Amino acid sequence: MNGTKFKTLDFATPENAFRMYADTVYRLAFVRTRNKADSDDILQEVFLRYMKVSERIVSEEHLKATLLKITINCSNSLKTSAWFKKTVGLTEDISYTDNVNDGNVLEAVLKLSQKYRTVIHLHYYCGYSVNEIAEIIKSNPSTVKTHLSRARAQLKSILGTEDL
Amino acid sequence: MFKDDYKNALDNIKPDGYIKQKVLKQIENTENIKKPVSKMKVIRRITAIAACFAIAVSMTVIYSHNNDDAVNISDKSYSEIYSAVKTFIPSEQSFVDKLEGFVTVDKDAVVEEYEYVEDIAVGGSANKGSVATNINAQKETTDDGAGAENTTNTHSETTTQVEGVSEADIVKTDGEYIYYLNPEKGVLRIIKAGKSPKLMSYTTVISADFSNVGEMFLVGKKIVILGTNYTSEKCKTVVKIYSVEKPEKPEVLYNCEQSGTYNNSRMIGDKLYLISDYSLNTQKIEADNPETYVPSIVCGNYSGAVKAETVTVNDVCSRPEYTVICGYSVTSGKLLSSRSLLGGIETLYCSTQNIIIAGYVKNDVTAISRYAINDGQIELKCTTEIKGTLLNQFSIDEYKGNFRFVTTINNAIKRKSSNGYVYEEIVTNNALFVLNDKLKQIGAIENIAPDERVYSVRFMGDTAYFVTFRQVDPLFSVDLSDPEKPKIIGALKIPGFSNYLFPYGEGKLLGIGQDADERTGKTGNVKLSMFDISDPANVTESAKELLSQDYSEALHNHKAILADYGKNLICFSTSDYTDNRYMVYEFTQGDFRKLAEINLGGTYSQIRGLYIGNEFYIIADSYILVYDINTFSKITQMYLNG
Repeated sequence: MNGTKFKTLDFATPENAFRMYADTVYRLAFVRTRNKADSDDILQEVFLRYMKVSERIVSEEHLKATLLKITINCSNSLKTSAWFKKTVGLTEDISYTDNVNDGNVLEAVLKLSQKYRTVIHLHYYCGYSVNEIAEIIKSNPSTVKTHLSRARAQLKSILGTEDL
Repeated sequence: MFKDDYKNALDNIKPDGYIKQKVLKQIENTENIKKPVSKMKVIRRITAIAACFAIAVSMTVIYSHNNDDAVNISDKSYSEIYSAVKTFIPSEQSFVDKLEGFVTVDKDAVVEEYEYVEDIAVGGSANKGSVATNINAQKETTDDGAGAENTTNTHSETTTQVEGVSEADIVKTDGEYIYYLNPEKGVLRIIKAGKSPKLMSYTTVISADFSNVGEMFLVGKKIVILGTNYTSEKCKTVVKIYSVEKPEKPEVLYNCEQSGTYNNSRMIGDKLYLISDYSLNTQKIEADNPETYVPSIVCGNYSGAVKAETVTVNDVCSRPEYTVICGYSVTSGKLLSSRSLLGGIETLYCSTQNIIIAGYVKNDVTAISRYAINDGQIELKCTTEIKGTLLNQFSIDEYKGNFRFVTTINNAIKRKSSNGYVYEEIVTNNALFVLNDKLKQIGAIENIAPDERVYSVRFMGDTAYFVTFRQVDPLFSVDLSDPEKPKIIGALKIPGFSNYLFPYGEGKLLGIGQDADERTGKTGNVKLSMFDISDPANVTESAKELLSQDYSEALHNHKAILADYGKNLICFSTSDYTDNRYMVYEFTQGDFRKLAEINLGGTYSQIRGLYIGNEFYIIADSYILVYDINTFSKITQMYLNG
């Protein structure tokens, strides 16, 4: 930073970031939490947190990765929140099938456990490589690789197809 | 394929419009709240604080870069531009380095911030008293009814700032057809107006990778669509000019592109002035390829990187970002001239003769550049800097060859909280500057309303009105009849604040904003105020109306409100958690009277109202509703499907 305070780049202002990536963030939040209400909360929280770091963003790719990383963090901290601990969630069958009509594939992904859903989403939807996913979810590349291959195997058996 | 199926399935997973609006509003509000800064940051910023104080102590506020017409920031050759740009190229960083330390979330910090917000809200304002000393009450009458833009039109126009300069919006009308651009879907609908409106055409004008921020102009029988095309490589601002001679089949006449994201635009006659922000990808700059470090334009008569002589480098620019200003002729689709300025843009003001570009530099200084415009030709005249930051385009005004600015100045002061946590508090005050055509300061008022910041500004000829806010809303009136000696002549304090001020007939100023608790400063529901400004030294709030909903697009977009004095209509949309409403008011016998409250339900991103003759139309996403303008009884409702 050379001691100079950079102004947030224009595409990286919280408002622009929101306009460009609100859906991306929301979708990852949804895949992780499997319900819309929590995803709404996470969406808000992500951009509040993002505002603190927006001036350090250097490129669009960096912006996207940062937002996804915050999303992962936010959905993790949701589980430790007082609200989550003190309330009983709906059973999963009800909560996530709501509003998902033509999503055989999506339903299949949502049947996986959270760590598998996350890597599948980051790889197939966001297009990240194994190494990049490891950076975003703060994990080991080989762990990610294992998760990805196990997730693929489970998906194949759920969907009953051979190619993914 | 699984990948495509999965992507398609996720298309339905989207946050609701209401949630989006709420988060956007939250972002807007939080950005304006003073934030505590972590210890480390304070240490790093100490030099900056010192610099701030230095500025505060010295009374010279404006550093003028130029003497006469000669522009100091001289035109450069490509190699000179490259050397300026090169300073922004960062050292090699891997994907890992960039993410490191960014987003490790410090939970305590989040909690602290919320507590702090609370703290601001409850804390009293110690500096309040000094406001009064600044108020030099003097009776002065102005007979200037500037802004009497509301004549008896047969159809409504987009709300604009300057007469003769049109601004882009999503809905336009020529009295016969209604043109509606849905920026989210990229669809242009042309609707024949009347008691039973008819959808003439449904055209997909922009492709899927187009950003959902788009606007348009209507010039004669041409529609000019503006927006940003985000691709992985580069962002481009795209202009598409359609002929709507045949409303059932609009045809593309011209396409133009310029680098950067769409920022703003103005139309004077058939000359389009288009401004985009172009952030350089500093990792891809090549010394021998100017296209990688200067903006480029693609148009009927021009293609490729801009000429080196049209690029200026602002010596004080703090980021690798160009402001690209192009003048196009809508009739011929040709580029008339272009100017690029290295240094970002924040606020654009455009009168019929001048464009003022204001951009944040650093240390709370705003760089101002003035471009003379004439028939599509753009010429950089001079640049300067002023203290503080501007709120929006209404903070700038040109009047009788002088330029007036209202800014909010942030001074950083180091504070220590009770638990030993050191933070930097930003103490604000506000100022008004009058600059001549060489952008030299000729008059100023400083230290207005310490601890508050500007919420809305309106210049009306010799008088300026502006609202600052912390707990209560002082509406200041400033006498500018002697530009060298501006004087505050009145201050009215009422709870809440106004986000926009519109002249509404003789001696009246309409404010739209939010109510606020006088004790805590917590904002409440949407509020309309009518100020009696017939005596600027003694402004009174002659009427107010408190609405039941707490959000309106009109709070941050002046184009969302239709305030028509000729027809006596004040219309805008409001929303809350459950539904959207369209509100129609009139102002009669000194009070607001609700003509209609139309519950639209559901979630819409943008709702617009307009009138043609005796019909009032409301456009919300795929619906058009028609009402009788006199009785506001519903005539019909139509679903506009392609």
